[in-house]
Amino acid sequence: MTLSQSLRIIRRLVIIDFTGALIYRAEFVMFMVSTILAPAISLLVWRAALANGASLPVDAEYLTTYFVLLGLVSMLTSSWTSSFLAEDIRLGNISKWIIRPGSTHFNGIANNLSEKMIKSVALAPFIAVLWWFFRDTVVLPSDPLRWVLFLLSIVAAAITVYALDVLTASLAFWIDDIGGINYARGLLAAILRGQLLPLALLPAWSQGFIDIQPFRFTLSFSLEIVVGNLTTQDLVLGTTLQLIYPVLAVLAARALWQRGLRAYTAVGA
Amino acid sequence: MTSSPLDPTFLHAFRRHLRLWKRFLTQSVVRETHYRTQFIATFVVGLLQLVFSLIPVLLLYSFTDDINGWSRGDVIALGGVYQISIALLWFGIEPNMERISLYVRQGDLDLILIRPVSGLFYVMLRWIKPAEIFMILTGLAVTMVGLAQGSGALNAGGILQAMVLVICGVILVSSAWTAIVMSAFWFTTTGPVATVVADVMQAGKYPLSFYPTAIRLFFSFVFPVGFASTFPVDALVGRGDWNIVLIGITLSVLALLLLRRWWHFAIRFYSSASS
Repeated sequence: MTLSQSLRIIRRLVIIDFTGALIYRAEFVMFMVSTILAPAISLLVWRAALANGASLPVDAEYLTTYFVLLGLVSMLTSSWTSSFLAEDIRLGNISKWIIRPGSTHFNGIANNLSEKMIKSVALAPFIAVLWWFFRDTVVLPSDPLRWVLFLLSIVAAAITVYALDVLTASLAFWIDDIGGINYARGLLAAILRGQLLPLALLPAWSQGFIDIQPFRFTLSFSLEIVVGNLTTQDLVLGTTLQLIYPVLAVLAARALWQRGLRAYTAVGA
Repeated sequence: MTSSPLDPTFLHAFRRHLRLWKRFLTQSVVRETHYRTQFIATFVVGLLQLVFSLIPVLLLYSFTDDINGWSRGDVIALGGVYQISIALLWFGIEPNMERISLYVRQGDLDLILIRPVSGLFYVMLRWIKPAEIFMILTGLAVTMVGLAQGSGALNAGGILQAMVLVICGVILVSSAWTAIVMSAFWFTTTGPVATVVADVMQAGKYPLSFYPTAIRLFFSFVFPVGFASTFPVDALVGRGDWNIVLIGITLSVLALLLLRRWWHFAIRFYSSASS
């Protein structure tokens, strides 16, 4: 199948998914309330620490801008496919995709894209309100290059997260329930990708490892581009790693998926 | 729980429903023994959550010794009390919340309303997750570790105040949660409500004094997670006040009465499965 054929199928699937997802628009709004709550709580807590004279390695502007943008970037780089894909493998539902001239991943990608379109619209007002409350300490760069890198970084991060999701789901070819693995990955990622707090606040002894570990490039680095004071050298190194990790993640997911397909026996087969 | 041939007085009704709840508990324990792996998984997951929830607190206090009068030990103790409150909610309330919209949507509420039991009692307390009991124990352990490092002196009065406040907090949060979920009588599904409530509850991991006044008031009276975490720890470290306990008890009674009225109002809009 050619690239243009694949893209055409994905485009059609996006339209179908988008139409279906619109039925649950109120649910999306509620989920977005949930998305913005955790960063808002963290922001208030860390600002309270600053107000009490805590000597943090970052200033109020950094913290505020980071947490205001966190919900948006976190949503754009997220993926929720692993549990659904694992269930499809376990129940034999991927059989219908195997015999089609497409891939189950087209469906997953289309679902990811269409839901993110709706979530972006649902999330925007909440981000705007948070922004308005803290507008005095939200500082964004004026350099257009940073914004180009920011967008590129989000796309690369989203690909990495999606590929890691497929990688985890592929374990369902051999393991009945991947829920525990998924959960453990989620907890670890929450710390290492900067979901709970900016990576700059982690202890100094961990910084060397934190700077190069892959989870940083699934969320934190995108934010650091617009929030942080990254030097040109940091930006070049970071962007290089940001582009390498999705390639590695996709290759690993592809290899495991293909091995899994060889081991796959559908229910009843 | 109104007066009926089965229950001449409120006390009779209360005792009958208590007996019924004990049956639910026994049944849930028996059911849980059939899913031992799930039982262990719930415990491990809760333990991991507890450990990970303490990481931001430890990092926060690596940059300062005191935030608005709260030391590191106090906030760790707060994490423990929060865990106890959450475990109590997940033990007896959370398993029922998602089912309420299912009862309404699929018409199963028909079978509940015709039973000789309070409908509100049944939809709120029918299902129990016994594995959460262990999370109460780990929450207690964390509370003790925090108090040992904290600034206050423990006394019997403070412990009593804290226990009453935790119960009030659980009642208040349960009432608010159930009231929100009852919007299922008007909307098709209230599935994401549990996610939103869980995220709002996260605010209780930190003292209310960390937040601006408007948010403090919200978490004290609208979605009163403060009664489930901050106020009990205040009591434990010697900053307690019997007036707060009295307010907590009054609000809890008021919340239950309002919830009961809300339930009776909401079921008027229930059109059953086949009508």
